[in-house]
Amino acid sequence: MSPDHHTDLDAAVLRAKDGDARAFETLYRDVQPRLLRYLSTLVAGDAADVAGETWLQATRDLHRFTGDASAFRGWVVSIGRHRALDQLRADRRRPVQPWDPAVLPDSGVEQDSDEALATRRALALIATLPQDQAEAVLLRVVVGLDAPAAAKVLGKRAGAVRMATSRGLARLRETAGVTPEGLPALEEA
Amino acid sequence: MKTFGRRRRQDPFADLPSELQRVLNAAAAPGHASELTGLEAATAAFTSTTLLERPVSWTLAKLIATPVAAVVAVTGLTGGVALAAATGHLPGPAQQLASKVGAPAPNSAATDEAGSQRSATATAALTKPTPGRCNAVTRIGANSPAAKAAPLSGAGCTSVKAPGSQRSETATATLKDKPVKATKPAKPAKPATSVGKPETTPADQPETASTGKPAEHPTSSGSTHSNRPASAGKPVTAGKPDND
Repeated sequence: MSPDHHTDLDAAVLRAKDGDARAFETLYRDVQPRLLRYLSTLVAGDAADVAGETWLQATRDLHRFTGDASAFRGWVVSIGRHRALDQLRADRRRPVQPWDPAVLPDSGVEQDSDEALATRRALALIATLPQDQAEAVLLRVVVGLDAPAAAKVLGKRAGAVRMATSRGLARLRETAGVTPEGLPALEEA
Repeated sequence: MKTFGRRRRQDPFADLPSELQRVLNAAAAPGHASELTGLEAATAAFTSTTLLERPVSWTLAKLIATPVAAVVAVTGLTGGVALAAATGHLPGPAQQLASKVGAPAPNSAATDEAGSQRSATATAALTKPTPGRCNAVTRIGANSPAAKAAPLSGAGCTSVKAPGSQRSETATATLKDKPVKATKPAKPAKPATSVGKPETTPADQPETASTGKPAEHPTSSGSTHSNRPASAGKPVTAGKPDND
């Protein structure tokens, strides 16, 4: 991400706190895809609903937030995580871990672009990791948080997040080229 | 005596094989259109929340609903009405009524058409009759447990309950049926209920400079990308940043 984009997003946070809807849209466009992808590993098909609830809460509590765009991203994702865990407790389900193409997040668009399909497959692959590793990798790579910020979302120490990230990447090294039955290899997507 | 050197922290994203780089790049690709389908509803909810939490004087100055202005004018809150009327932010019928109760005529009748459309959308999203559902939540997340548990109140909706938040009541309440409760004791009373069907012709949003507020201290590390892989982890920028 370019430094200019960082600055623009930081300014958007301040303006959104002041009620600027355009600034809010800018932030939404930046954060929502990351949020959805992260939530998809926790609540799969309910990611869109949980994301919607997350934005409602973030909107209501925006006046309490202080920080730059990166902190805002982490804050929103943190709200989303709590919402997702609440839903899991309510539904008494466990997060999706095994590779199951049936629970790939439904984009709601009839024909995804090739890039969108590649994203979904990548997320499904990451979802095969143990939960702590999947979350660490997603927060670092997709949401774009550094280890301390990711640790804040997860309620862990930064060292634990670094360890989980390393282990998750090590596992992915082994599986990145593996083809689950019935799905094309990622490099062919 | 043994001395322990500080172990150098290894970057986990260094020297990744190309297949894994491709996976991570795909996971972190810019946002797709399908991931932004909730933008309009989220923005509408943001706009309504922002309007409801503003001080009364600000709200009146940026009045969006004719019936609200009419009732305010009748009840004698001429200060705010005068401001709104003078700035030409009252719709036509309300402007005439305001004139009758002594508000000065506007110098300019300019209104912000774009703002009208934005707020019309926001209010439409909130007030569109949808039996059994909170409208804003319908557009954003219809099947969530919170949405299903939200009490029904005709065409409006009362809340999407957030833990520890009372603002959900006001955030999603419309101007249509209920008086909007002040959420802070220090705030003056909100305008009375609207009369008839609200027409949302809002004024423009205030253009505030980013330096309008004191700088706020970041609550987390400012460096977010120091450990990201060089090629993987492209910024997930869905759509154009719009920061003017």
